[in-house]
Amino acid sequence: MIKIAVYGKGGIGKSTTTSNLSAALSDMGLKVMQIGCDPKADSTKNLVSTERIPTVLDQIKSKGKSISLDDIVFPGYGKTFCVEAGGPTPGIGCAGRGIIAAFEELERLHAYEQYEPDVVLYDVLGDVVCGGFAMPIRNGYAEHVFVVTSGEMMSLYAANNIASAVKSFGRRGYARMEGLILNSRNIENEEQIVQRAAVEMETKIVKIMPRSGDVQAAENTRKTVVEALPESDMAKHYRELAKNVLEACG
Amino acid sequence: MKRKKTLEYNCPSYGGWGMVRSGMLVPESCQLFVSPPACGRHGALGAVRQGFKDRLFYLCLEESDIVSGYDQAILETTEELFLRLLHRPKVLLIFVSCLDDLIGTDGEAVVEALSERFPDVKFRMCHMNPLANDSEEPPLVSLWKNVYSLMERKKEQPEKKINVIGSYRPVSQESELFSFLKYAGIEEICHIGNCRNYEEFRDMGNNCMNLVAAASAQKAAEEIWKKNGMEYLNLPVSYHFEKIEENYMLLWKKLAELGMHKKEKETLVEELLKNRKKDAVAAVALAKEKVSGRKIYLDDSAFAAPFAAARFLLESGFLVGAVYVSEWNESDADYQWILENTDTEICNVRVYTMVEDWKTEADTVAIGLEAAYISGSDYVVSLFQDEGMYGFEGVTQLMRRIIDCMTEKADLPALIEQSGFVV
Repeated sequence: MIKIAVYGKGGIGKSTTTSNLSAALSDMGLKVMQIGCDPKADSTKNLVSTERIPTVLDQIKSKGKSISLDDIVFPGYGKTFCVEAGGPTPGIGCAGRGIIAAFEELERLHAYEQYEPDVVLYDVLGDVVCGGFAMPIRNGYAEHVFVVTSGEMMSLYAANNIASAVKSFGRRGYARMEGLILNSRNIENEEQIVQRAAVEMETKIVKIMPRSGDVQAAENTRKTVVEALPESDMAKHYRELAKNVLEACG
Repeated sequence: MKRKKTLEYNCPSYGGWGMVRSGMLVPESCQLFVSPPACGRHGALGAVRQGFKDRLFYLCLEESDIVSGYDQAILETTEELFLRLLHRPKVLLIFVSCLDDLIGTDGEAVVEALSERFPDVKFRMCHMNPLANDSEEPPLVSLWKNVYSLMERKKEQPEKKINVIGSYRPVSQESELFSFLKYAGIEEICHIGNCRNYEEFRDMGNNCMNLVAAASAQKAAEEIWKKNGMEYLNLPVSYHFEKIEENYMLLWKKLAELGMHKKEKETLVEELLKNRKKDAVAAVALAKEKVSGRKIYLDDSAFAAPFAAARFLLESGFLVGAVYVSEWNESDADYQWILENTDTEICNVRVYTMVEDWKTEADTVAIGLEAAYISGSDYVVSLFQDEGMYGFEGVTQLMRRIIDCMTEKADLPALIEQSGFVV
């Protein structure tokens, strides 16, 4: 089982990238579990092609101890399984704790043993701001970390923070920084800027994703590009990304 | 079952061993509590009363620690603590509070850093989390996992000794368990409470088996088995004759699997159990005569399995007025049996209005201090979590304690004082 955490600043296209990555990996014949770790709880919406799935925290609240895996794990495109950790109302409660609680529940219900995924993808919000957000790269949850970034300053700032956290935890062999996924915003000299940042972070760019209208077109149909427009150039890029990610994970 | 919605209530005789006292069973250990000051109050007062105050230390957290985390503060405080202590402890149990469920301290990393800095000390990160009381891993279950993980297996060939784990007190020397195990070739029964130093406790890891005397230690035994293959058997304390016999049969079978079967001793074992059962039956008859129809009230501080204990008393012909419990499993077979077959009340002691309803009967017997306070019984058996009772001798001892308590009216405040509870 390959366990991957995908981090990135909010709004950078992290969930879109992760969902397409899941779909592409599924097309390669792999069983994939995508776990959205964002209180927004929309990481998997393009994989399940339906209304949002209930979050683990919502289900814990409403079902208590009678909760089962069927309440929190939902089949998505191909051989994907989707989970949304969920979280509090903005401004109230602790989102980091939400992630911890969701992970504990998945473990308690033996989710990984039951679904036996080949790849687990944790789609994690923004920066590592507290212990809860660091959970996916601790305690053996994720072994490989990728950061989605553009050439914009704030996005690179978040990427650098994540790289620092991985490095500080890395001493204990938790997770390894495998590289940056450049989600192009078509800003000037973007590739060079991100390349320089990658060197400073002692990592590399694993794939440059071009900006494409296909992404929005697919999202309008509540699907990933890989599913909605499989013949498109963008779908090809996501399939390349899947290949590069697997190679980077060894 | 009566249910009313009120604030949760703890009566003055509420207490027990708690995390501090249970952890203090580890010989030559100290504890560092990492929490806001208020979270440590009860444990600190208890430690003073129970004589542990020289082994308990606090890192009191402030607002800034909550914002920035306190991993580094734990490392620095431990250094300072070891500088100040005359003798460095062999074990330091570090307790974080439920606050840490939000902070997410990397406990493993802290323990690793401390172990590098102080290789002569064993560190364990423990969690004092009352929120987990009704979870799959309540605080005590988690504590036993930490405590018993300190036992180390160093010898390839296990010793002919058995550990009893999960109980607060060693099995009474009078129990037939000793003779029973001797017939099987077991030379010693070990218990954390009998260890004179840390090394003796650590070396319990070389013994051939863990006998799990309380359900709270089952997970600890499982983890040890996964780690080094040390066998275990769940044989919690029971007072039912059939269950006791069944437990001994299971134990004999397990010992056979471990290559310690002494077939030629089987007759002696049968004779031993028969005699001890006979003694227990006689003790029950005597106690019944002495109690002479008075109601018995019991609680879940006295018995790890209060419904099973109540059922045993009821089936033996005693009159059980009520079972006082704070948490229970409604699918418990003994609980169901009591509901369906008897008039015995089952009361939630955390609901104040129910407790008020019951403080009425003086000419009764209470087993457990909460039961004593709530029922107002004159005659009280001060018992906590079955103590050293085991097997048929356990039944005999329980009956003896009931008979003894009838000789004079109890001084409940004095009993609470003696138990070291914090009121």
